[in-house]
Amino acid sequence: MNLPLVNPAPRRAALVLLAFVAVFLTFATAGPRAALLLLVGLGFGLTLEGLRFGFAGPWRTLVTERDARGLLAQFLAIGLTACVAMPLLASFPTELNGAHAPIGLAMIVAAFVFGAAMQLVMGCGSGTLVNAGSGNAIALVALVGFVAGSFFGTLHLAWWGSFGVLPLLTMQGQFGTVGGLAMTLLGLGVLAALALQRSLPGKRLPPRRLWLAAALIALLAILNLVIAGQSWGVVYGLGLWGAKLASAAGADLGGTAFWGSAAHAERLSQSLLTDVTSLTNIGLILGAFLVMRWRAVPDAQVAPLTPRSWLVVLLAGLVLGYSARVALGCNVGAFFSGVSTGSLHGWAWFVAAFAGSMLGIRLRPRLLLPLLPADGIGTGGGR
Amino acid sequence: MAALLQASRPRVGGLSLILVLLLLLVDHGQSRPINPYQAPAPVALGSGVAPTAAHCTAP
Repeated sequence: MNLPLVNPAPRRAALVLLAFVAVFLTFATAGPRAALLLLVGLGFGLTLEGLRFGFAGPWRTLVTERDARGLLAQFLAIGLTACVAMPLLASFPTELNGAHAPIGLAMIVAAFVFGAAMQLVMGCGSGTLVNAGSGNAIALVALVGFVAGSFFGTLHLAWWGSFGVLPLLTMQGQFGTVGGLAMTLLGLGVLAALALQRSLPGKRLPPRRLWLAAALIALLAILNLVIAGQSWGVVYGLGLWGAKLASAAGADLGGTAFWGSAAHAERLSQSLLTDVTSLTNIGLILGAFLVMRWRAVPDAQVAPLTPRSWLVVLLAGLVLGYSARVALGCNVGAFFSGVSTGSLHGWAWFVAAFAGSMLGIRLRPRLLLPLLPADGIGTGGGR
Repeated sequence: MAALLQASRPRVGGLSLILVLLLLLVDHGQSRPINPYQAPAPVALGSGVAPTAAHCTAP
């Protein structure tokens, strides 16, 4: 098919202007830190979409295609981040917080469910945002469910937390700062070796774009920590979005255990432009949109779905959000940020979510294939 | 829903941005005004202030 030649320069200039206006308005409204965090989010979106770096897709390809390249890039990014983040956390304990959480029974089960659901919608926490921004219709529907699910998860979080929770365990706490970093890198090395053993020849060495993406993601994650004082996260912001919408609809959340607590009540009463994860989430969506529109020819839209398939996607998004909240984070907050800042719950999350992901890979064709054309569901690049 | 399904990526991506804008408008209508004089330091590191932002790992 011959496509008409259109000069992309005006469109691209408009995209640059759009990014500039967004950052400037954020700066003027909420101050320099908010603008910097929006820039960090934009960087995440540009990198994830532009270099096609993701989480859900590489987990799937390791299982189905014995391709370890994407997963190795994830481990590299986490390791690079840990090399800077863990010494920083040790040096500035009053100004910086790691993504530390306790291991719990509900957390592990929820991570398992999250892993399964993310293979159904072909996107994790960051992937759903990026895919929605890049125009993937499935991701946009899943994102609506994700927001609702994250919010509902906050309403039951205290109850889920009552099931068998261990004390907070960190690598630093167990082995000291240097020893903790060494153990983290060793753990990532072991996982990389297992992935390499599973993979086929020719599907082991990541391409240059993934090396670059891993380095950029690590840089942005460190900037997130330095600017915000806390690690990169996604789910809290989405739950807050749901709470904001529920409040606007008349719900009184002050009586709930979660939103009635001082810290969360403060977030609920303040502007989203003062919330760290909301800012980076918005940046992710905008950055992915900019990349998609920058391309001369955007990727094709996902394959058509039946109404029942849409419902499956919406429900999977809902489960994704709910389970991410109960699991104390998604692939970003729990896995990437948890592991890179020494939290042992990040490792437990990864094991459980990867097992769930294997189930999700099996469930996906059973739940969706009868509702789809023979060539399967178009993903537009699962992340 | 059918229209969304058939929409091109630029249109769906644009819709995502519009939804974010609507969310910010709803938020603006119910949140306390931002006080620029109480804005945090540009960078947390070196600010001498403990982080108060929320994260998904916090129960």
